[in-house]
Amino acid sequence: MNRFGRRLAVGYVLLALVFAVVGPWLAPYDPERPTADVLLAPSLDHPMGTDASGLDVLSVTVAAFRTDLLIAVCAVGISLLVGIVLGVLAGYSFGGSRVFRTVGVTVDRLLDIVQSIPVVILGLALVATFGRGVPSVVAAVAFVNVPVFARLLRASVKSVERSGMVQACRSIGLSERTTLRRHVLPNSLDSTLANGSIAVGTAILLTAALSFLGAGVRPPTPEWGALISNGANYVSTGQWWISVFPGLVLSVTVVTFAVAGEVIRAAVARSRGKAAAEDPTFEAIVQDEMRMP
Amino acid sequence: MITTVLRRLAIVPLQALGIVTIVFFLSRLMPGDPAYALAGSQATDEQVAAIRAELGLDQPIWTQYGEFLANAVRGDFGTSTQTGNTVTADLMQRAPSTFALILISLVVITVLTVLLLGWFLARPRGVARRAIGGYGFLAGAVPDFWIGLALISLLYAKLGLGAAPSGQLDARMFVPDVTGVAIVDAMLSGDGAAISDALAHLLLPVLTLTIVYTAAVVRVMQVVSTQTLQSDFMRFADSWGIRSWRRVAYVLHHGAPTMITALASTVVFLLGGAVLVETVFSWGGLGQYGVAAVTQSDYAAVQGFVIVAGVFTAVVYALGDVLHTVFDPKLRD
Repeated sequence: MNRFGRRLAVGYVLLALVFAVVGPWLAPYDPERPTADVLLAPSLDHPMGTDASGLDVLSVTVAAFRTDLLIAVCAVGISLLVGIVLGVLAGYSFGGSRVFRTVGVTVDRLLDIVQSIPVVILGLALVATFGRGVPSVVAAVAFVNVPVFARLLRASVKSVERSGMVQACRSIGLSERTTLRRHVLPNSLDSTLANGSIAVGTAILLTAALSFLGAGVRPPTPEWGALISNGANYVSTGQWWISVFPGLVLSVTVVTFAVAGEVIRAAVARSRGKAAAEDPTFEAIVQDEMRMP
Repeated sequence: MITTVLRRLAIVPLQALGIVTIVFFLSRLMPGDPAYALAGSQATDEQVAAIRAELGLDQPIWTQYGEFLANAVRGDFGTSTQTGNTVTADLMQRAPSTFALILISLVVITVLTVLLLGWFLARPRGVARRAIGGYGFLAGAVPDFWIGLALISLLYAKLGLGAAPSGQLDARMFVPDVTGVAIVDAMLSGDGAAISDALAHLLLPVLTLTIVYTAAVVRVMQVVSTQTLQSDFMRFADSWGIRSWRRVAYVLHHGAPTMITALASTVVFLLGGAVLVETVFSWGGLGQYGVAAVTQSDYAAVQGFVIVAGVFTAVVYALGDVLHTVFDPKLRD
């Protein structure tokens, strides 16, 4: 990705955040009130056409920025907090305390099991458990993301603890709590926080998938996955615009959040004087996603 | 090596236990009383109490957990409220078509990965490097269900390729149900029209899964191959002036264990993808059953589905690790 592409991506992310705030007011038509203009192909009046109940696809797509980003950002925020706590428990030795060792191993195993269930299936099960509605989608998406953050943090906490820094802290008699709070955490949060932006993208994907399956946000609330599902029955008879346009916007949003995450990661690495890796996601995939031994 | 393999396989039952445990305690987090939900709003207190006793909800939680575990070990997940059959029977009936979809996609993904790698290795600095990188990046961001719909609108609605997203076989076709997989049943019946119809119905779902899930495997293999190309033994081989096709063969051989692990992960991703793709194409497999169970609050079916998916995942990862051990000469002793 060249410099121009990265700037474009960051610009789009900012625009998406603005849309999340003012999107529903920018929509040219009411995104929740059906009209008589049913299944119109894209035209100047309706650039993305209309759906089977007469809603303007462009208006729903623009209004949906708020729903999708709100769910994704809240979910990632929650999972970041929980993930940091679990990551520290799983990764830090607390000076070789036996109790914390047992806790750490247990957390590790639990994360393993939770992560072994395919994301969509786990999300579905959680929505079934919590009941339908936006809060339970947030809870499900947050739950699914916790292991990702916990593992990232666990890995960096471990590497920081192995470094001389922690030994130095111990040798001057700092308590484990102070060492953790003042030295270990600040030095290991980088990659976890940078991953937050990427996680917002994948959280949007999961939100849309759950809504597409009818287990997430439900109409009339404007949401991309629900809108794609709304158009799914018309695709094979040639009315492609209801599903295709929101899917394009969704994909572009996910891609740009991922690029923005890389930009943040590189910026943080530069400011700390480390050489920014050429493409850190490669390594992340090999190690995390593919569960390489 | 045998000890390593056995030790790895011994973990599987423990993981299965963990999955069953998590599913049980999640189901107890459910807001509201399932007895009230089942009895309906008109029920008297006695009726609710009867249902509660029938479900064992009046027992202490550890008794309930023991009961749940014992039933799960026996393969008994209760009765589905949407079909009226036992959940196990429902799952058994639908599993073959999902596994067939996963298996066929896996074969296509493997072939495509080797072809793309060959392209990349022929000229490691050429267009292929950037093309694969870009493809891998985009494929991770595009939802699989949307790719499925886009393919239907482009290939089926516009070009007439494939078949309507209405299951595994046209409703007017009939083949005796032997295996539960339309393509296999069609082949067994020897009916040419049915075979080509089943193939047409396979085209778009398999293409969807292939487009989305080849990317991760190719990216991992590209990274591994790049490292291999820079290794001392490849430089040594190059200094001997080996032919280019042998270079490719060496690199592929060296990457084989990694590819096995990557493909094991892919099978798990495919199971998740199948949930969405089955819904798009009305495939009638496990995934669609699980989705219907969730939307219709059929809790027994949801639990059974999640447990089967989790255990399947644990088994696939274990097999992947075992094959990795077998194929990696460094781990053989």
